[in-house]
Amino acid sequence: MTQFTLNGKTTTIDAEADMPLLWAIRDLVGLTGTKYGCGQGLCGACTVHIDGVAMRSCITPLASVAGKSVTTIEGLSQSGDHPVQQAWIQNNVPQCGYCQPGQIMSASALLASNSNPSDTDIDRAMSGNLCRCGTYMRIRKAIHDAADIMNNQQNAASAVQYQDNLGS
Amino acid sequence: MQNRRDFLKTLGIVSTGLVIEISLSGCSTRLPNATDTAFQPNAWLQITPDNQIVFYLCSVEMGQGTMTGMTTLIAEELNTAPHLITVKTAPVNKAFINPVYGVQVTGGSTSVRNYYTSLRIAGAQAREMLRAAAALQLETNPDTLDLRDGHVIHRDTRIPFGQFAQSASRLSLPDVELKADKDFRFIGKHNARLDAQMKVRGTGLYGIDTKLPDLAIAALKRCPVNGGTVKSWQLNGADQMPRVKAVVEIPTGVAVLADSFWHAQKALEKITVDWDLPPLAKRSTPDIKAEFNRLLDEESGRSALSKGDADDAIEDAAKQVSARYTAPYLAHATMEPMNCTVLLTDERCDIWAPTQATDVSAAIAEEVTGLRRSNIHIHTTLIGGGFGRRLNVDYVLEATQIAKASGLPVKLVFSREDDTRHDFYRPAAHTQMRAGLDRNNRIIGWQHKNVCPTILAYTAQEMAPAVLPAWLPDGMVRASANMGASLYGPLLADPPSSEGAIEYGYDVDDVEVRVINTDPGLRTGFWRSVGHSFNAFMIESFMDELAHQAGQDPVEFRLRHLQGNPRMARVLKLAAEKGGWGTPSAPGVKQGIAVHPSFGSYVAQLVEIKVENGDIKLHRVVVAADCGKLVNPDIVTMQMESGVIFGLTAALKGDITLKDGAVQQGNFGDYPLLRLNEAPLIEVHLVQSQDDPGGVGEPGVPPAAPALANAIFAATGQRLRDLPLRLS
Repeated sequence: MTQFTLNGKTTTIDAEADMPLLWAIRDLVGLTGTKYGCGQGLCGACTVHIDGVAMRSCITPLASVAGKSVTTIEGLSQSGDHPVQQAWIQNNVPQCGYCQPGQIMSASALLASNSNPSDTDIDRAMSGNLCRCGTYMRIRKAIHDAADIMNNQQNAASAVQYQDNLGS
Repeated sequence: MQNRRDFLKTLGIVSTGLVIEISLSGCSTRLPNATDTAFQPNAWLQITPDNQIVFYLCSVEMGQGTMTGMTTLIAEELNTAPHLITVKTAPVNKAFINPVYGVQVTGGSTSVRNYYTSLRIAGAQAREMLRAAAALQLETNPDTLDLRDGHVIHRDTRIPFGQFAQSASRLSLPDVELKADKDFRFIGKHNARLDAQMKVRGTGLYGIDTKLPDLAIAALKRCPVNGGTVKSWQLNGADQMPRVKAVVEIPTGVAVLADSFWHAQKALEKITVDWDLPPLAKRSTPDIKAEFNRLLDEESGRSALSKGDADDAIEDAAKQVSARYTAPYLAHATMEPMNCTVLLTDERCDIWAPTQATDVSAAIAEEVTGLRRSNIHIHTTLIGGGFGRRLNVDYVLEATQIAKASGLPVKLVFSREDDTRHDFYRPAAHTQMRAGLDRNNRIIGWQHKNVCPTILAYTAQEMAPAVLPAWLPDGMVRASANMGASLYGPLLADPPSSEGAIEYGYDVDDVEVRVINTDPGLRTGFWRSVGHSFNAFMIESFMDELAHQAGQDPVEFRLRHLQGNPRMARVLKLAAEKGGWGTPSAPGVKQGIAVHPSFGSYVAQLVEIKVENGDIKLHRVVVAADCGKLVNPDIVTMQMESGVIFGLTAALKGDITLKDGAVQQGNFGDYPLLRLNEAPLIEVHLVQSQDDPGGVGEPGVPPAAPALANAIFAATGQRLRDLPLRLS
């Protein structure tokens, strides 16, 4: 029995401690946005956030997430408008789209810790996510664009804060 | 013979609204591959009284963008923005048979180019019938009405299409005029993919995501050697493992059905199987290669193309050049592994499958279940990469057999290892090239001889028992012939082995292409660009060798032989110009170039690399493509980018090898794909062409490998003639 937070909801799964988180999420909980690609942490299709860090759920034992917070693609944003999702749409990134939930979870974790990643940072964070359709160039561009969107939002929020401070 | 109404009922298209049926006979179509048997009613469009505009997509979306492309064609003539149209996947029906192939399949980069005219006619007929119905209802002249974005515009009022659906459905099909190109709102302009939102939200449902009440997930232990069957097996307590629902035997293996794929796999580890091994078990890659080389030396093969007398011309040449090239077997490695979900009862069979071969799936299920075809329902899902792999339907066969044996609703999932080891592989090929140069360094005489397993044999074998009688009642011989003809047109005798070689585009009078078909027994299939994928490597590497033998610049040398092929010359020049041929974009960068026509399109690629410490680093690829008229330009660009990565991945890394008949690779560790940090910059330049639309999904692949090999030669002086390319 493992209890953890899944996309903000307390979730309890009655399964073996060594069951991979991927299959617990997909086959027992029924959330299918997280994809199976290799089962060995080689392709990144199963990437989720565990306490905000991008992890391969196919090699993450269920018991290891006890008490932690797990976010899947379904929980990344309320209405599919996370800056990374916006940038993905703007850049026409997805082709078959199967790897993209994993790509987006890796990219959003990168941006959460690094608001202005260099190409080398992107190489490091994204080289574990395979895309058979070869959307890599657009992924790189979309991550830079998502950083801009996030920084603009930040600036806008700061401006509002500044105005509020002036007004008070 | 079904009447129209029954026919529409079987389609599941409700007849309360306006249903447009199109008969292509009598229409002046510009289908590039139209056959004279193409009398096919089509039923793509439905407009409901509640104003839903539904388009039944008869090709499958697997990343190539056909959902957006085909909807754009309908949208243009309906003068209604693509995102206002609801796209549903078409069921199995003869109305949706691919006119090129005679079966309901998606392949050969055919969707947009085949349907470019017929879908526009479908849209235009709907438009004019709605206009006529609205004019009657509103008691006005049809010419005073505008139709736009789901509405009829009458004076200042916008009335939804649905208001006129009932009355429009009582009108007969009008003759229609298609929009002039200059009036296009969407064709050539619309780029936003209709499938993008669901793909970035994780809500798009692929085959592997199919859910049903009480669904069992199956894992199957197959013979390590393709084609092996179960002789005997031991359970070893597998059925006692947690969450296991059933264990069943089918011809190709033993399946465990459980609550999750992981539980099924865990239990499967317990089971031991004795196999009946096929003859392939005696074959390994070194002996297969030796046999291919021996055949090249000893056999003359069958002629696939003979123009003039190449042998004589080469004998008389001032200089004779020859070279031998090889290409390995390759796996498709789609990111979504093969899978299929089956719900089978006594009365009906529902199948959810990510497949490119919709009606072949139905035929297979018919054979397994014994149900009538009308009780078999194929639901095509989103597809996580096809690349030709899903034209074969082994996963449908196995899943249906498991459903029948277990009596449970079941989803069969291939592990990555299953997927790599039980593919229908791109065939290996060994090729002897020979040509002569005259005193002016022009090519006189060109010989291209391949040793290659056939593809068609395996597909026909898979389809034959169930499919051929259904779609071609006259029997196997004609069926096989039509299958071959439809897939490979002029190549009835020699399937894909010579594809790309017989379309040799250079100005040479004496050309001979010969093929020796041999089959070690590893099943083969259609792999993105099929025969072009290796023949372009052979041809364009050899052209580079000839240019160097002639002491000429490789671009100039090619252009001298492209007087008769202006479209090929144009993309070659464009790639050279845009890529700065002769002036690499950074210090230490070297260039290679290649051009190849395929699937009605022309693509040239200039590849820039650096070689550092014996490693090949991809720097930049400049693509010039002439795909005829463009429907969604950015989707064409995406497909070119995709083709480059797919082609370079194979050129640098792809290698499927056999030991005692078993495929030695299993996962991305030993069958690696190009990663983001290894990918080059890609620039795509599209020719603004007025020619008929060409294919888009495949033509970006063939030039990548030879352009890279030519760049490696420029960088190192090493002429690598064996794929994958490995520096010595």
